[in-house]
Amino acid sequence: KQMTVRDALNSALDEELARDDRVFLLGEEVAQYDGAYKVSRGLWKKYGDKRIIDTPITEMGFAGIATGAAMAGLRPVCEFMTFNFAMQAIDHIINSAAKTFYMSAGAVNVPIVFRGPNGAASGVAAQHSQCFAAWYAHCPGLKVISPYDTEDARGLLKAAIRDPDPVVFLENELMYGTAFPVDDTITDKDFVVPIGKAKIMRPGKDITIVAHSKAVETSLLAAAELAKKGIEAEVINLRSIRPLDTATIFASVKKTHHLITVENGWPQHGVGAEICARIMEDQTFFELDAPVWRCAGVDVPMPYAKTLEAHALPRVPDLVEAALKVLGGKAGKAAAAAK
Amino acid sequence: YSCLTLENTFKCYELENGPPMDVELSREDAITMYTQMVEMRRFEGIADAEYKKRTIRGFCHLYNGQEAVATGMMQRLRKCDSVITAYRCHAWTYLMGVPLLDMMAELVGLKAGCSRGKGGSMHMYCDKFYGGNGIVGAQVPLGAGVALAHQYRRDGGVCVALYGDGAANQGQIFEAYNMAKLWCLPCIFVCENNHYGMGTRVDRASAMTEFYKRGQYMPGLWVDGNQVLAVRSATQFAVDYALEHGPIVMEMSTYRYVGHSMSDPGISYRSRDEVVKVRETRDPITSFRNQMLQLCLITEEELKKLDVEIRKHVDAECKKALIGKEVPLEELYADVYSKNLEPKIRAVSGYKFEHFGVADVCFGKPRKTHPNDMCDVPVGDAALLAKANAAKAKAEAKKKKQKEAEGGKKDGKKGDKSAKKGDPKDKAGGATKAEGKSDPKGKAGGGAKAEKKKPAKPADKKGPPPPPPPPAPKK
Repeated sequence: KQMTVRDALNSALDEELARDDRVFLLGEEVAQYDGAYKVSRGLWKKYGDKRIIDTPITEMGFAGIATGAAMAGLRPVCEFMTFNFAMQAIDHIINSAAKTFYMSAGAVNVPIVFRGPNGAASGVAAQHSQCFAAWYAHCPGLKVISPYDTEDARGLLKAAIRDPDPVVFLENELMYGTAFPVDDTITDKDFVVPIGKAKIMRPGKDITIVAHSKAVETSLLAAAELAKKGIEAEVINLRSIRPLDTATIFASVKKTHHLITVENGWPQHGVGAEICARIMEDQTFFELDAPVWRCAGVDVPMPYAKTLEAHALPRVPDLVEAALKVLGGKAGKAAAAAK
Repeated sequence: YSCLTLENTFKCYELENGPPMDVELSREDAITMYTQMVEMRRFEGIADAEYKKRTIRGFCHLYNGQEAVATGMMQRLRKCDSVITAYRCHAWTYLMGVPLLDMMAELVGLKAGCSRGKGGSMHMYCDKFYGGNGIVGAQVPLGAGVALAHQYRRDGGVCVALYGDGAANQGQIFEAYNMAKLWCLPCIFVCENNHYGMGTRVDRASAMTEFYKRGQYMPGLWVDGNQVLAVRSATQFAVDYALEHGPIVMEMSTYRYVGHSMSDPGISYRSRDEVVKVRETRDPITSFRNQMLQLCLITEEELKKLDVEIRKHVDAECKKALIGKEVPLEELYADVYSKNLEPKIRAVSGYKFEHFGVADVCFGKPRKTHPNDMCDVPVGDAALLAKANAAKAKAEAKKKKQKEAEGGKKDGKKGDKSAKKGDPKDKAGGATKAEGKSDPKGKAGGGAKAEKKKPAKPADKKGPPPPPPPPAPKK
């Protein structure tokens, strides 16, 4: 059985709407248009105007309204057509949603999900291609999720909607149409994936590759390439950017003694930078046989042209090269052993 | 009751009839309103003094001169109505239900503070009061959102979203207007026009200063905001209007005697004479006091006595607040999340702090927000656990039954019991809403006991993590 990421999100929304009548979806084109990316397809027909609300193109206003409704006890899912536009509303995400529980000493919680596609799409240039994982993960009070596949999308969106705190849910447009195999557990209506736990996508003993969202795909492909060279890479799908599951990363590094991080966002102060810092501050640092290496988006605004764009993000050969560099002499030994 | 006619107090925009000009006033209501206004004036006086003593830090915006707005409006707002305002929020906080002591303690940052010293002057909350807000204009869409919640729940409440003449030019206010009108939200947008946004006079900041007409497609009502009876009457009108027809804009024309905040002496952009003149001719307290005397609702002696009582009361409450305890240092890392998933909160150096929640003792008593707003349905790990437990109970029941079948009646009672236990667990694991009030901690596994138990504890805070099956977060 297969299910696309889009259908995973759609079914998760559908089930949570059915489960809890405080849950509602609002955003641009979510109702009659069936969603700009068809994530909310069919929901308006099923749940009507009250639960699926089309908004005007006024991000700051509707993010504020959604946050206010959450303060008053509803559980809004606020869709941004893409997270690039959420920058207009970032004040409400940070100042209104993330900080209120603390400022009120726990009197007012804000159970809201801000969701939408994040990161680079294809051929849409700088203003529409940006990863916000590091931006939001910087802020205490928020939970930041970045799913990769169908299982992640379904389980984490459901967990996010049920969570009593503000959650930023960063999807990836390029993954929407990708189908992954699913079993009965994943399609169960009470399937949730715990927030704050990473998943080991592929076990290995030689080097750890940590990634999130679409970069997990690149990492898995790179791991397959490395396997041909006799190198067994362990691929970790972060799933949550905040809280960051350092326990899983540390455990893996203790096993492999090598680490590269992969992300499609910019390098400076990014997710990879944070992982490096965490390792430096932990005993795990002494487990490393080589410095940690970051693979991240090129430190420029996203260009439009196809080849330039492709080279602006980490590709499989980049990852392989980085892994070989980090492994150094060990790569050669592994290759020899494989032969 | 005494009757009187209000004059020159309203202007209407896109409204056929304004609020009634003839109003009634009972002695009781008069005394209440007078007391509230004088209490607030006194409280702000003490806040001013404390600020100058440096016990109050940072921002502190006083309400002196604007008392009639909050007092008059609160007379006509009902229990089910909500309020959200900007940073000049002391009077609103008090009138919405935070005691003077808790408020003063918050201003000076002590443990008894209504936000336990984490909010300060601009961030105080209570039931149906969604705070002051430090971001100019941000509270307006939030208020529209609270109104959306009223409409969504059909609870008959309205939300009052207040902002100043300075914020009136913020783009997000017009975004909120637009959606409120489109969706017919029971929202009252109130512009408290004190004629200066910080130091900028209205006509230097706004191309059009008739703020009650700024809704364009929304009706508006201009009110003399220094006359408490006018405000009261207009509020009744606005509440009725909002419930029947949707959003409405009100402009309360008022004046602030003090500077914008404590660092502003308030005289570089306006003359002392201007302030003195408003104080003498339009002071909300003095004018209401005279009104009460004219209507023979109270005597001069009674008023004098009342003044003394109020002063004593406010002073005593503030004094009590000022000698309160400091906020315990560990609360620095409390209540970041209502359901914390961070293994540790990072200290200045290193991950050292164990997050915890003080939410359930907020305001010195059990929290006022509905407990079911936090976690009334089995969520995440709790759901998985409940399910696991239900399956376990079922298996056990099956075993017992088998035993019964084999070994006769001996175990009959026990088998019965576990079967009963299994039932509500099944429910809790399912997609129930109304009855799924299982303990959010998953501690009781949604068993029969949990159903009876008060589900008052908001989300999982302390307490042991649920056992293995779901990989539960530690705190």
